[in-house]
Amino acid sequence: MQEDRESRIGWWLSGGAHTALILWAILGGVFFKPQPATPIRTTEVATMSGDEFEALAAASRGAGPVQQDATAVATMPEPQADDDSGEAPAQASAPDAEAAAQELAQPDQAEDQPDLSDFDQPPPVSVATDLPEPAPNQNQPAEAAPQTPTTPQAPVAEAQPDRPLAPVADAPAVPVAPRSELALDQSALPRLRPEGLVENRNARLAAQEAARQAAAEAARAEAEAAARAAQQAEEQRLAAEREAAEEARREAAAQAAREEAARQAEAEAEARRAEQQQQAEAEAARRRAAEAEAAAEEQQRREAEARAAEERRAAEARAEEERLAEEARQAEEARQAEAERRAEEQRRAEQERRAEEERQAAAEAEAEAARQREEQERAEREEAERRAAAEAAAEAEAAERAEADRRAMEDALREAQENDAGAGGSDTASTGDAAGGDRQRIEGGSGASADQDPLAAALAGALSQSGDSDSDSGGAGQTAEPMQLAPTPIRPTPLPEPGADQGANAGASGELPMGQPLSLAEKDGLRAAIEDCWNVGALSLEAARMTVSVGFAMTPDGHPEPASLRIADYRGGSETAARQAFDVARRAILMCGRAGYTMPREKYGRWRDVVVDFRPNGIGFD
Amino acid sequence: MLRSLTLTLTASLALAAMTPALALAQDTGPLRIEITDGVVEPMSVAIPAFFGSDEVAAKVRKVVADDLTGTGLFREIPADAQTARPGSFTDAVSYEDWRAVNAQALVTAEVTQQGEDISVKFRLFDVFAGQPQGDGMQFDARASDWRRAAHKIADQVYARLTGEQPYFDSRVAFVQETGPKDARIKRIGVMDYDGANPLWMTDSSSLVLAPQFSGNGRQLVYTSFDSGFPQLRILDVASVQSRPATQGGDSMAFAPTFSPDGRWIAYSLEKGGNTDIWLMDSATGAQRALTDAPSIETSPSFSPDGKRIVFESDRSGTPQLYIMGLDGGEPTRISFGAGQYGSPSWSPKGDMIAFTHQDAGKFHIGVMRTDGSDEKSLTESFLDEGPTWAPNGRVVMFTRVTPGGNGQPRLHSVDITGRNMRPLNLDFAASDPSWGPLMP
Repeated sequence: MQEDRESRIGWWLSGGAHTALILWAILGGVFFKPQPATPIRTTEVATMSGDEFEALAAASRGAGPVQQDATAVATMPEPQADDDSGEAPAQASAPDAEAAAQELAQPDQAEDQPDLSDFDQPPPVSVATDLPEPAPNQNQPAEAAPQTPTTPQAPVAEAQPDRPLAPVADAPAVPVAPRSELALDQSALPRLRPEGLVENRNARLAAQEAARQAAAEAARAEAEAAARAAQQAEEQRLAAEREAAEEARREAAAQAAREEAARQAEAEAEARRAEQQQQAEAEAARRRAAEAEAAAEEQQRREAEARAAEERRAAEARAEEERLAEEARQAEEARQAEAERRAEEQRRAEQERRAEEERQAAAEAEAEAARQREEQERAEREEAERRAAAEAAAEAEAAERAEADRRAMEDALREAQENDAGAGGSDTASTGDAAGGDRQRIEGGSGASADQDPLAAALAGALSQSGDSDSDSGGAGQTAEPMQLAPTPIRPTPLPEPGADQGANAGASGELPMGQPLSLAEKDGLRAAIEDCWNVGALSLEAARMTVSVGFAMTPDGHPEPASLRIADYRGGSETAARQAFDVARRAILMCGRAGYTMPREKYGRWRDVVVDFRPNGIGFD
Repeated sequence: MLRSLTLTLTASLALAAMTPALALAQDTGPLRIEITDGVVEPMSVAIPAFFGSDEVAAKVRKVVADDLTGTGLFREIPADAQTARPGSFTDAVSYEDWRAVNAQALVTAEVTQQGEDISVKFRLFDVFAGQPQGDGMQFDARASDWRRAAHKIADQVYARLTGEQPYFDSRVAFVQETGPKDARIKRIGVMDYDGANPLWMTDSSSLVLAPQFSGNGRQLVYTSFDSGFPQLRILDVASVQSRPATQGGDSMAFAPTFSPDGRWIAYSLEKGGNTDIWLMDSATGAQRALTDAPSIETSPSFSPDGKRIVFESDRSGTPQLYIMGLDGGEPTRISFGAGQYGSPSWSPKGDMIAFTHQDAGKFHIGVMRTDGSDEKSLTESFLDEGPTWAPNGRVVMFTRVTPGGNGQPRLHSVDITGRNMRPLNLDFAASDPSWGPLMP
């Protein structure tokens, strides 16, 4: 606020000083500068010397040597050729208005009207003259005769009525011949005079004239001296005025300079004060900033120290935590290792157990198989025996039948031989009875028959044993026949999950060349080949955030089978997004597999079926 | 001792005998590999000349190709490389020939014109799968709407190949600007998403700002200086008739936005030097304040379900982004970065928020999740501002102003992955874009 007040005072002082300076410059100029005069138009004038004037004056009043042309006037300069003073102005050719009105250069000093006051005005005297009586018209004004050539009046241009008439302005400058009151046209007629009067008078007049001329000469000289003195005085005055004006100007300039210097000094002082103040403020601000910065730095240092301490503590805590975590991890690892070891042991034990079981099962199966084989062999043997017995029985029966037939034939022949004399009715009855009686007996299976034929006895024993086996339902020979003949039931079986078809593949791959396991380079080659065609740029944002597993089969020459491509699994998104991700993955597998993937053919069993997990990493934003 | 040695030897022999069996058991499954790093490059698409009416078919084909390639996700197979062009729309596709030129997808179409109507049908094929990708479709439209028919086909192709929702057949409201910076003349226009067919909704008699589409795209709400004071007006796009929405004598209303169902308008209202978010019933004009704080709250944007808004507030000292429910409650701040955040816009999918971020003398268009996580800057320039979402929430359009006295605002679009930033092909300066919904 104080600063503003000082600033305002300074501005007011400066403004007042400048206003005064401007007013002084304006008004002072009016006072000291010559007043602008009305433009003076000049014309050519004739001047005459004092002698000529005296002669003219004398002539005008009839004194002095009168020449023949007493009225002659002093020779005046001839007017210009185009100055036709005798003619009316109207007859003069109208000059160009602009040229006529041309403003002349202003003289240094206005020309004063001839000052004739210093001339003696002699009292009117009567002069003698031998001039003839004045003409009646001599009372006309004398100036009618001595026509003073005047500048023809410039015609006033119609278009410029306001322009001042130059000839009018010139009027004061026209020299007017002094007229004596004793001029002839005014003098009374002389009276009669005594003798010698004229001579005396002439002498006296001559003396007076001489004295007067001397006086006039002296006066003129004195006047000239006075004029010169006045002129010198005037010049001195003008010089003094100029000097004063110059001095005033210098003083004004000096004053202005002083004021300007003062103002500048004030401004500079103000500026210096402001600068100093600014510097002080800046310095204060710097100090404050430095202090603040120092405080901030101190605060930061403290905070840094605190942070460092905190970080140290945190680091220590972290280290401790890490140590504990490491210990825990190690313990966990140890535990896990132990658990894994135990698990491994268990697994191994389990495997051993399973292997043992398998071995036992295999042994059992083998034993069972051996038993079955034994049973089968026994059954086969028994069957062979049975068949042999049956065949023997059949043969025996056939033989018996043949024997019976033979006997019957023999009986028939014998009966025929015996009945040649007429015993026909006994033919049928005897044949039937004999045959039926035998067949019934065999088929009846009586012990008498077995006793009679050892083959029949063996067959009967085998059959009776077979009948016992049937009742047991456990005979190998009896169970094998129905199992082979009965139709195998076909039931629908759910397809295994995509990832759970290992058993089938294992079974299938058992017939495929397995070779050594695939190396990491071989696996990575397939991965890189598919990766080159997996264009994730066209994935939707949702599809780009999820994982889709694509399963497919390959031909032995490394071509993917298009029909085998399927979604094995997906997670992290919707089914729609999974379908879109699958489309992109399928496209990648098929595109890069056009020429077939380079895979070891001898290991085909290990890469015939492939599952690729497509898991975009960092897709979505750059 | 001897017994122990015997047991150890026996166990070792048993283990050695079992090892091949274990290894075999591990190698019997399918080969399993994992791929995490793919390539990012445009997908090659073959779009041979469409069958049918030559002139219209050529125009439709060009718009389809421009739409697809304009996304930066597709690359068109050059015409001179297309050696397997079918003889007609119904001919079988020679996949092998298209595979030979590395075309991953094939688009075939036929355009027929009858009087003032056109019919466009198309098919899309997965070349390497050797099968059509989706069913063929046919679009019938007036001949004057051939661009929309082309956009529809491109939308189908885009959606089927990327899995994203379509967005080509949509419009954008904007403010056209003419004149020097200190004496701009502005008027509201509506154009296709690609800058074609601009139509003018207002004249240049008064200043207009920030038009916003309603959820169905039939209305615009904007800030008008008709009365010399910023007030809201609602404009019917079909009839190009507008009506005042607010008439506050001593208050300023600005930054309006429609709720997705079009029932509400959220906007900023300045009263007595304080600015808050207000809610107005677009039908009745009933209003109520959503916020009441001495700070400046502005630039509201609705969530897709219409139950929350995200807005800008300087209550923390610098402009930051906040989310609050329409039923009141304390706003939750979601932006915490350096600099200033403003002009938020909620994605139509609801998962992201786009915003303007000013920091260190630079402007950015960024996106973040609705909880403030995963903040990403998509652009950086002298002045980027006013993001608006495409209907599918995949692309953001914004205003970029060039520096200098002759600087002009231009509309740009960018994929939210930060790729494919490009200016719209406009022959005039434009700002304040508002992306409307997908047209039916």
